Amino acid sequence: MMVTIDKQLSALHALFSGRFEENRRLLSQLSSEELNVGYAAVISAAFFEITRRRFIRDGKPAGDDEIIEFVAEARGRTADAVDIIDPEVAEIAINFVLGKLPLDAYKAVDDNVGFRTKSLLVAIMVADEDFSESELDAFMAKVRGLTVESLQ
Amino acid sequence: MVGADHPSGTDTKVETADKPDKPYTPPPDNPGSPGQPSRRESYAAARAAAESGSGGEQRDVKPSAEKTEPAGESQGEERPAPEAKDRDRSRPAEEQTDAPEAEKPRSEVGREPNDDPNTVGRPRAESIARAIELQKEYAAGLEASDRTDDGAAQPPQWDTPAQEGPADETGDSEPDPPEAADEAAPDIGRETDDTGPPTDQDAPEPAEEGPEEFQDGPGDDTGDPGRNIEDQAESQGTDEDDPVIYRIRLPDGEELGPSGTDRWVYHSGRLDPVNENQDLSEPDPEDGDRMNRILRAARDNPDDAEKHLDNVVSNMIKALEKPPPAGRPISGQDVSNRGDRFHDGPQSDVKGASALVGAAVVAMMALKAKDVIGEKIKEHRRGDDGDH
Repeated sequence: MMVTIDKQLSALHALFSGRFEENRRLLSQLSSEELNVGYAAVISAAFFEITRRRFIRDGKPAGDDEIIEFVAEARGRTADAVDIIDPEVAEIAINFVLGKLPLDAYKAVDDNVGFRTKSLLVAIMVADEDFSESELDAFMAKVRGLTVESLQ
Repeated sequence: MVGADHPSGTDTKVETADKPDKPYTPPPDNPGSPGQPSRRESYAAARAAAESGSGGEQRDVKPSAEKTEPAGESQGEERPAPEAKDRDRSRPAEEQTDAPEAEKPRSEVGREPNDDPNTVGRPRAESIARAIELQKEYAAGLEASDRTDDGAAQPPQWDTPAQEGPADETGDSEPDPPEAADEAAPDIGRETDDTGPPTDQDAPEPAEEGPEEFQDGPGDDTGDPGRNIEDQAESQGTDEDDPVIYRIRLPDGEELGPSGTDRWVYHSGRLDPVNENQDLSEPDPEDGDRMNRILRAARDNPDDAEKHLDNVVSNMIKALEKPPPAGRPISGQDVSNRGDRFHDGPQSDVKGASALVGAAVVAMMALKAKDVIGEKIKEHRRGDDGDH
């Protein structure tokens, strides 16, 4: 099945660029399938890239303590973050993309919970990175490639 | 044209065998010139006489004409002069009959006497002798008609370039036997050059056999371009067995390598530098494959993404609007200058300003205290002075 990801990528790029109205407008144009497949794939790819960018240093993944601390801090970022971010799912997702878990470790994670958790964690980590415009463009380009790769 | 294209084709194979002892200079041939009948006219007369003979005789004549004609074409310039023809006619019959046999190409010499495919059980010499007799009869009849007004004798019709085929091939200048004139002489010598094959039923055969005979020759002629090419090809084939040695020619003209070869290749004279520090290690393909598998396995497939989308997006916007925590390492990048950078500077300035203000206040208070103390000292001195 061929899935278009242009609108999903544009919506996420607009969100990270601070163009929130544009983000909402683009998301409202997406169908349920485009959200469940395309947008979820874009979020997963962005989470994959930003997590490895943050927690891999000198080729080595961060320790569990650092990850636990981060998840705990992230759940306090917003009023609803504690409800959106499942700590166990968040830690599994982070350790999984860092290669610290077996390949079947993520199968136990509910896709809906995982999508919501990753969405907010991505926004938090992108906010922490404080990307410049060019850095954000490069990041989104990488996200595009990873999304295409994950959908093959 | 045939003769021009293959100037020495069949000539070579006959030259070695038929080189005559008596050199002969061919007389100029000017068919159609004043006082000389045209070739076509002569041929028509000769043909009419030949047809009057027996069929076996015609068959006897035909092979010789076939064999001798191609060379005659190739050297159409060497035509026997009338004197030569007269001399030829005056020769004994034995010589005339022997001459064609001696002038035959090598390929024919090696054959059996009666190897003529068109003649069964008849020796070639006998056939040629009979043909010569017929030709003499024709020539005798033509001499009277060939005489011009001035009474000069005209060459017989078979003294055409094609007739001289055997003579040309062997280099012999003696006129050809009459059978050559009967069949091949007329149209091939000149007319085939211009108009293609003759329409006569007998004439084309020699013309067609000429090239074949030319190619099948023994190849004694080194001037044959075709044979040269073949020889070169053969020699090249043998060369391929040997190793090919090249010399190297540099831009400045210097040549390197063995001197025993004239083959050379060009070289720029420099070698591309080798980067010794280049990283020749390749990424582990297993790692890349594992990352791809992780990427695909970590992809979520929600079925209600739209259900909580507004709430999730609102929290994402809040997270993005909120500045990151100061002093916290975010990623592998150096973030030591993030977060408090915009707060540390102004705070230090404020602290410095407060210190200055405090110092100024202290200074002012000190000055004020000094003034107060000074006035009190003055009042105390005045009281002492009043008491006194």
